[in-house]
Amino acid sequence: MSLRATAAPRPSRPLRTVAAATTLVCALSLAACGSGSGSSDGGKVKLSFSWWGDASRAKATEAAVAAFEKAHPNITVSTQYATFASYNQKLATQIAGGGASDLIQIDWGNQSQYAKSNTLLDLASGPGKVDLSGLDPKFAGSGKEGDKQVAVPFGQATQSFVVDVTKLQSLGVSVPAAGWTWDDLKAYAQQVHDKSGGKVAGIADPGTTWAAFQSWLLQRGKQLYTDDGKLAFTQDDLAGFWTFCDDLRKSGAATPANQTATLISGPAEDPLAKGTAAAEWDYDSIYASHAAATKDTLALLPLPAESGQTGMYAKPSMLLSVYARSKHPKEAAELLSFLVNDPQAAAALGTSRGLFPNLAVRKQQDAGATGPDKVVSDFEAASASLLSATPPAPPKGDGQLITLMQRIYGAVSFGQQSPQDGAASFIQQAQQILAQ
Amino acid sequence: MSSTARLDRPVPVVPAPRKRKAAPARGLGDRTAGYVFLLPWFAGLAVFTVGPLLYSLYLSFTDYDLLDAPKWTGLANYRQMFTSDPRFFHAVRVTLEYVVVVTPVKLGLGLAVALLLNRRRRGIGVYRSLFYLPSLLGTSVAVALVWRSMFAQGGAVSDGLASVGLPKTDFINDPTWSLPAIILLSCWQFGAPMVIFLAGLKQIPAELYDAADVDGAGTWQRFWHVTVPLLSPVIFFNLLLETINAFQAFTPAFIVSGGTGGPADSTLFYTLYLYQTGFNDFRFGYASAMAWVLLAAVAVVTAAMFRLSRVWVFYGDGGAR
Repeated sequence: MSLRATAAPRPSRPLRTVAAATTLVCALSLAACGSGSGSSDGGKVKLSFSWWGDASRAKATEAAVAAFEKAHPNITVSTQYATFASYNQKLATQIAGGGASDLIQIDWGNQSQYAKSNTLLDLASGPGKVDLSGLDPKFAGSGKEGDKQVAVPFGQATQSFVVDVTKLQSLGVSVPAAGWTWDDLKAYAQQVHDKSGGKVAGIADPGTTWAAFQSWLLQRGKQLYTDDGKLAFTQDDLAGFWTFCDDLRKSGAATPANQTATLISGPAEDPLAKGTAAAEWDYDSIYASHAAATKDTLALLPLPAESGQTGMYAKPSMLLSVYARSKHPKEAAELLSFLVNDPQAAAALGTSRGLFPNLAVRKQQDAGATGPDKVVSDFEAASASLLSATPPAPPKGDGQLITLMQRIYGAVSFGQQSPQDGAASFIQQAQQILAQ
Repeated sequence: MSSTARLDRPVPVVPAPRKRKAAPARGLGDRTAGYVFLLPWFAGLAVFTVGPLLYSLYLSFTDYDLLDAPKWTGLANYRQMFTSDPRFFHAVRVTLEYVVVVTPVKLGLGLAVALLLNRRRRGIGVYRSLFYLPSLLGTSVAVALVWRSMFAQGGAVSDGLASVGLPKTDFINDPTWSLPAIILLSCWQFGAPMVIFLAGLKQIPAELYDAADVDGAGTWQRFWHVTVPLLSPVIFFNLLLETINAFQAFTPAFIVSGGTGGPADSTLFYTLYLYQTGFNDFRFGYASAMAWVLLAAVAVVTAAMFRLSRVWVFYGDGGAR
């Protein structure tokens, strides 16, 4: 009511007030937009770097970044990380809004999609040129999209089974040896189930794991995708894999459905960490996190083979890219180069992302490795001869198929669908997703 | 959403403009000043609410993956939703199950506790606060996380039930129990309707109860013939609010299922599926279309409830029926 007292007698005043207020509001909202990611003042460059991972990987990464900052006093790096799923959501949103970090960690499955929308800077020439001479050219090539180097692999990983040695010893079950087959796995897992009185499953059910199915296919001379990004396997292939898993689960050799569902919550909360499974399918780049989640002694095993083929391959566990709209492409590329080439980075990172990209440094690092890092580098050395050729980068939609696999096998393992019906609906939905 | 609540029955507004006519010039100045002061709010409304709202309507007719520009596809999203998306119908079913159970149970609990607390007793304020507390915490992520660990295998509830001889159940990761666990979490937050019921109960004139006593009415008759009719506007208000809230439930399902709507899609709420479509599959066109279908559905349900309210809501002024 007190407005009346201040109301303007002249008609022009309100107009002026309106104008002033409008200006103020606009200025405020502009100011809000102005605070972008990279900024520099007084010769100092501020970079941002984002990745996905867990706390143990964060510790390693922070240490590597600190070493970089020490070597480059004029650059400060702010970092942020999240779990895989939420990281990808955040990254896509940031890219859509034009505000992603200068240096971003990307998943191989997203690479082609981001590259096609010109989000990633070319690292082969121009301001973002990165020295890749120390990397295996074929492996570095997994970051290529056409003739553009849009990403650099930030660690080499291989598929494996993580085994709880302490648990097996206490149960009196011998640790399977490399060169085992799927029948061996079945026998081993059943033994664990029987000797533990049903308390421990031999393995965490791999039926929800897309990448485990990929190896299963590679062992049989098949692929997930055709070269033009369509499904390259049949309903029977998938039904075969799921039937195998389903039988394991029904006999108690693999974890029951409710425990398998916790696999997505990460190494700290999964059946291996909780002691309800004695082995779990995973990439060896996650080994350090598994080791940190339990007091037991763990070991890495190659995948069970089918007619001599393991279906394992050297996979870029993740890649690094410079955001195309970064204000400091040169410095961001410097940080990237440091993270994949510098011995100090290697020392800090350990095997938190798999094997170090630079080969010479990797060799040095292997020689002095201890603890989980030694387990991983020994495992990689031992299984180098078992690897199949690395398949081409997965097409757009790969990420959705990963969750589709979890969902449909989830329904199968809860007894809502037969493996055959599940496989049929998977093929139908996957084709729909890949056609988008 | 609240604007839809006024569709059928305009809230009676005290007519004031006649007085204004006496001083038109001054009134105009007042009004201008008022609008000027509202300007920042209008700017916010335009930039953060109306703009995105209209943009999402536009997006609902496109194919948009965040990275490339939206491609106009007409009604394709809506067509797919109603013809070839089994998960859409599944999500609708899960959401309806949730709404139909949670709303009445929550209101029933709220009313029952409000009746208990509507007495003069020492420390009654403390009890009221305590019962209201879950509502304040309810939408928080922390409570959902606690819920999840309590009801999961090895959690307090599951082990507690096992210790009295019931079978060990993993309430969170079993498709039979996951939705009931989330429903329980929501029902526990009956504090907000309870407080509104309490306010409504205080409005009921004591003479009516005295008169009922004189007529020899028992407790049940007093409740049924005095409390319920006089409280019916408040019941209706709460019903409307809780129904709309229930349709939009997201946080508990998102946190308890870890964002998957699992196990086996048993907690795939409509809003969660919408979120997954947008932020996991990057199909923002489809997600926007889903949002507009939800808006339309809630509007229809609200309108229907207003229509029905003519039959059972009793406004004390006598003009309601």
